[in-house]
Amino acid sequence: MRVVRWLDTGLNSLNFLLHQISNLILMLIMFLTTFDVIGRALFNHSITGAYELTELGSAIVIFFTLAVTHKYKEHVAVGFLVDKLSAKKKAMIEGLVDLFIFVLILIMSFQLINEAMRLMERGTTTTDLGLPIYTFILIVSIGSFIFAFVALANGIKSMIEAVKKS
Amino acid sequence: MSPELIGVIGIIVLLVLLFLKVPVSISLIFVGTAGFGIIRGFDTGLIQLGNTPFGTASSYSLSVIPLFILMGMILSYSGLGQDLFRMVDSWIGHIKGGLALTTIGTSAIFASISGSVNATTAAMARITLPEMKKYNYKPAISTASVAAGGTLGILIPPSVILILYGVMTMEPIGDLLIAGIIPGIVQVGLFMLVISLWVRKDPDAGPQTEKSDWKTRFKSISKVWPFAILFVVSIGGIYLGIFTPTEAGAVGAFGALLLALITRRIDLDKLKKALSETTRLSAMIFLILIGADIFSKFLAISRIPMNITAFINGLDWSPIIIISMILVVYLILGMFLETIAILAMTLPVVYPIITQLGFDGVWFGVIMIIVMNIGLITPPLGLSVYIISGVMKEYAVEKIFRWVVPMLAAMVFSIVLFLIFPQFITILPSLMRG
Amino acid sequence: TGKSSASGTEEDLVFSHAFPANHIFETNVVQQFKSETEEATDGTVMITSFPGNQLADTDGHYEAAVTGISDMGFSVHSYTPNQFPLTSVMELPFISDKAVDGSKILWQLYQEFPALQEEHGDVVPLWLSTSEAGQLFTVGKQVKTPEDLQGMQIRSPSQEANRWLEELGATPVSMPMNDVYEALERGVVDGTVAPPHTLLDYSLQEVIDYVTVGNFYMTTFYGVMSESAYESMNHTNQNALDQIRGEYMSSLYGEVVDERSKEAVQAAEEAGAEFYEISEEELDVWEEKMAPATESWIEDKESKGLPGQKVYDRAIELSNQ
Ligand code: NA
Ligand code: NA
Repeated sequence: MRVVRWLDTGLNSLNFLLHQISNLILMLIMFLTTFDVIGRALFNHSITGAYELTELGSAIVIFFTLAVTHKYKEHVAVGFLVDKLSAKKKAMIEGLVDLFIFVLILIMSFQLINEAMRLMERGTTTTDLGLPIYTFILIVSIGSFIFAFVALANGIKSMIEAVKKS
Repeated sequence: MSPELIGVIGIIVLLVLLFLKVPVSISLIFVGTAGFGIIRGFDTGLIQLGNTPFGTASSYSLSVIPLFILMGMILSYSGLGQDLFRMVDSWIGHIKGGLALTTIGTSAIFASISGSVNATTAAMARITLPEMKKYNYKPAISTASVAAGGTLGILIPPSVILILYGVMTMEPIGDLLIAGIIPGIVQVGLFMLVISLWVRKDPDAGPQTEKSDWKTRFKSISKVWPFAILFVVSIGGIYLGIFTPTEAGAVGAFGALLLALITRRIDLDKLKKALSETTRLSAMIFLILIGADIFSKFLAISRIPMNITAFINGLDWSPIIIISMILVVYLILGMFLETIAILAMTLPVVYPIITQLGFDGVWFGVIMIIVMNIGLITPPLGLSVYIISGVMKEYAVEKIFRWVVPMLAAMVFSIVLFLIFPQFITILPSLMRG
Repeated sequence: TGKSSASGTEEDLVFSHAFPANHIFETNVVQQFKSETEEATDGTVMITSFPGNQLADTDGHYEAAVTGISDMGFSVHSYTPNQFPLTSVMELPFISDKAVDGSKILWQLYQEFPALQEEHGDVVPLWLSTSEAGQLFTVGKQVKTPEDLQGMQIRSPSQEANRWLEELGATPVSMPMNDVYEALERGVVDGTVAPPHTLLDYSLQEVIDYVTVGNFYMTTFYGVMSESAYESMNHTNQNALDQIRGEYMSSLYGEVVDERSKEAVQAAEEAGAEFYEISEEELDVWEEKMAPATESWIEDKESKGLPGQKVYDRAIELSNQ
């Protein structure tokens, strides 16, 4: 129990931090694109790399918010069958689903790292600014790992609840 | 095992996972990865799993989605929805069923800055339902108006779903957004017609309220001009060719923030909330897109789309029959599944068929969305109804499903109309193209 | 890989690429390659094409072939910047004009330089080819001299092009090809550099007003096969494939592009575009302005220990033959 609580607190603060970063980056993308448009329209000058920074920024925004979205149970699921079951069965199934998510997203996180390693070897970069793409994949994989562990914590909590209800 | 058989098994497993309440995105990712791995070797499935997520999340065309959502959120948190309702109310609220008509009108205008049905429905339910209750409107007519009005959220631009359709099919996003305008207006008319007939038959459903004076009316307009400005800037900008959709999203969100700050409607706390909700909604959508991408690669390698397309092309049926059948399938899918998930699962198969039959890809995108909108207000999965019941807990879901039936008739009627006269959908994009 | 059959010798290879199903690269290149290969191997090697990025993203078809997602892949080198540093020599200004010539040069360079082979080290090339020379397409303003380009916003396809556009005084803008039509129509950019054959793919002939012909660069394409798929073929089939892949396919590719380019130029003329060809004398001015871009390309490769100078010189030499 204490481990779960510890995991939960740690994840919560990490989650909060990542989400704030992602909110901030979304704001920056908004400003960047707007100023790019204004600059181009009024001063005939566009911002170098605006396009690829928007792409890389979007990826971070998304990945850094995956976990908190899961915490709020906002990843859309079709619940009308499971929701009809008894509270115990429901908690059991939801717990198993969370453990399933944990395993799948954990594998995905490691695959992201593999992908980053492949791109590092290839030396691929972005077009305008020549930024190495693999570093951004490594950065977003942090969000992916946290997502996996939030699912794990949720899953354990649901399972404990299911056991308690018997 | 042939790839086709593995594909069929994959689709069955996907449905089982969905009904076990596994999130749509996760189900798609799992089946796509495992299925691809079984057909092409296990490590290739894993490579897709490592490669696709970043590619999808860093797509430039998709970056418009968080920006359009942000625009709607900022305005929503600024309390503009409330002012909008007051404005429409002061003009038409006093006629019979006026508040229900006001709800449709407000939804339509709100839809022009909000990209999703969820956001539009939730905002409208919160604002209009308590108001209609206060004036003794019957819950049937009030919930039906909110449910129907909310579906306009993805028909009237901006529309997250039409953007996704554009990204998945490579149809021009600008054209798709513009194409939704006239069908949206037609549906507004039909919904209002239903309300008028409703109160004629049952005058107690929507009793009259007091009439506003002209001063109030014009004063209320002065409070909602930001809506007009933002719609003109973002959608007008696309139509007139000042910028591309992604830029429209950024400029729209920036404009919303600026207006909210100037009119002192937003503070740091509200802005943080608007941002947080935007990123969470975006993360949800993008994870489904990542799943969709992985799943569609699996479908492609299973060769099912290839075979179905060849099969349908071999059929000697008239295109109108085939398209009607396809739309019926979408209607059924829409009753059970989430719209983005349906796009993800079906477009790789359906879109090539549609275009080979000679139908306009933009037209199809709009009409299929109207068809799937029906699913949002029908059982068993009716997201809009769930949202309404969530806002007004005393209205049970089963009851609302029965109350909204008259609006379903209007929606079905509009589909038949757009099927017979595709010009309703295609005329604006073709005018824009000159 | 693919379908197993009773005889066990039949192979069904997966070919993934970036171009749409109705594009000439599918109908006239991939399908041609497929039928010739199937015929040459007496139907013991079958190929199924998956056009339109069904299996991988635009920039992922090389990797798809390497990792076994597909058996063969085909796309554009510059979609993964810096992965093919020496191949990008063809993107430098004034190397060649026709696609068939450019393709022959690139294939010859590949055969002569081990460093170029290393860039394609984990695959068996089916073809290495180029587009016809890229020209400058503008809206509203005709460009005859580098001065005309001052301050113009030009959509650029690659790092190399970014560099010389800047040298010429233009502002390079990056955007995906899909957005170029709208961007040109709406004045988001004043023009684009592109090989003429791409006009038809994106209906750009409808929106451009002027064409400045200067043979500014070439886009390069790879068609590659995974080593393991190649190894798994028997010797007879490998030999049969070797006759088709390489120089033959690269030239064929070039011919298809040149043919398409003719159609595109005709379509642009019919749509009212005005062509301006930079003369020999004027070219000196352009060459002088653009030279730093080429020099910095060579310097960059040399600093990485790659034979940039030799590859560039040989490319020019082959072009003059
Ligand atoms: Na909308
Ligand atoms: Na439904």
